Amino acid sequence: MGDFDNELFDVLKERPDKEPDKVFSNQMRQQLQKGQIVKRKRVSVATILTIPVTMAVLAFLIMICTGQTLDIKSAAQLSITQEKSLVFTGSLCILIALLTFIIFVFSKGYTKGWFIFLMFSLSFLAWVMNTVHAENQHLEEPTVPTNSKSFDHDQDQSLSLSDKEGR
Amino acid sequence: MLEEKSQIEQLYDAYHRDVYHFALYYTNSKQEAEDITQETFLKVLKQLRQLKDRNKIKTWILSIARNTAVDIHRKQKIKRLLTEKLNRQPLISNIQEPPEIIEKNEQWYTVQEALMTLKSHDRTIIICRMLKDYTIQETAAILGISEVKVRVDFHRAMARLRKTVGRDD
Repeated sequence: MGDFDNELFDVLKERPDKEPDKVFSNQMRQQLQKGQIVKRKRVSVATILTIPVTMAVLAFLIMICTGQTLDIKSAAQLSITQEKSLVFTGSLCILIALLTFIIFVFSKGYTKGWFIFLMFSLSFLAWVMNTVHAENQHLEEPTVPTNSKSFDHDQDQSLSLSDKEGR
Repeated sequence: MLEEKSQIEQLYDAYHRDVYHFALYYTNSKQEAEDITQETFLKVLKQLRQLKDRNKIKTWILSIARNTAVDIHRKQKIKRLLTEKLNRQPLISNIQEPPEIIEKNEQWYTVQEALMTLKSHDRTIIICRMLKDYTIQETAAILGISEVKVRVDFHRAMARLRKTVGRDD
C-alpha cells in the first residue's frame, strides 16, 4: 500500500460531516428503548398494486376450481367428465401451490419487490389476454384433438380426400 | 423481551457509528445514511433471535447494513440524479471558509466522488479495508465471499480507484 493511498483515504476519513446527527441518534435510541421503530413510510406503487393483483389471480383460480362461469367465455370449453375432473385436480394443485407461495411472500414481507409485482401482473395479464383472444376468435371447441363428433367428421373428410388423391 | 431491548440498545451504542459511516461512504448522502442506519437496526431487532454465533455480531450487523445500503441506494437512483447538481453547489462555492479548509473539502470530495464511480462490490471492499480498517476476515464475512477473493478484488478495486483519481501507477 503506497503512501499516496493512505493520504488519499486519510482525507476522506476526516470528512467534516462524518458523524451521525445527534438528534437522529437520540431519536433512534429512544425508539429502540420503546421496542419499536416508527418506520418512515414510503409510498410504493408495487405495494399498492400487488394486493389487488394477487386477489384478482386468486379470484380467477377459485372461479376455475368451483366451475363458475365468467362473463367472458373461457378459453377452452371442456366436453367430457374425465377432462373436467383432470382440470379440476390440476387447478386445485396450482391453487394450493400459489396460495402457499402467496402466503410465504406476504409473511416474509417480499411484497415490495418488483419481481413479485411483475410475476403477479404478468400472470393476470396472461389470463386477460387469453380470455380476450378466445372471445375474439370465438373458440367454442377445444383446440386439442378429442373423440368428439366434429373432430371425427373432419378426420373422415381428410382421409377420404387423401384416398381420392391417391387414386 | 427486556433482555432483548437492552441488548439492542447495547448493539446500537456499539455499532451505530460503524453502520452510519459505512452508509455515508457508500451513498455519500446524509439522508440515505440515516435511512440505512434506521432500516439496519430495524432488521437487527427483528432477526436478533436468529443469530446463533454471537461472536460474529459485528460482521452480521455490517452485512445487514451493506445489503440495506445496496437496496436503498438503488431505489433512490432517480431522485439522486435529479438532486445531484444542487447538492454539489454549496461545497465548491463556499467562499467564506479559509482556503486550506476549502482545499481539504475539495480533496475528500474528489476521493468520495471517485469512490462513487466504482461498482457496489468494489466500493464496499474499499470502504471496509481502507476507510473502516476491517481485517480481510471481517470484510470477507461482511461480503459473504472468501478471503482470497477479498484480496484479489481489493487490488483490482484500488487500481480502478487510482485510475479514476488520476494516479495510475
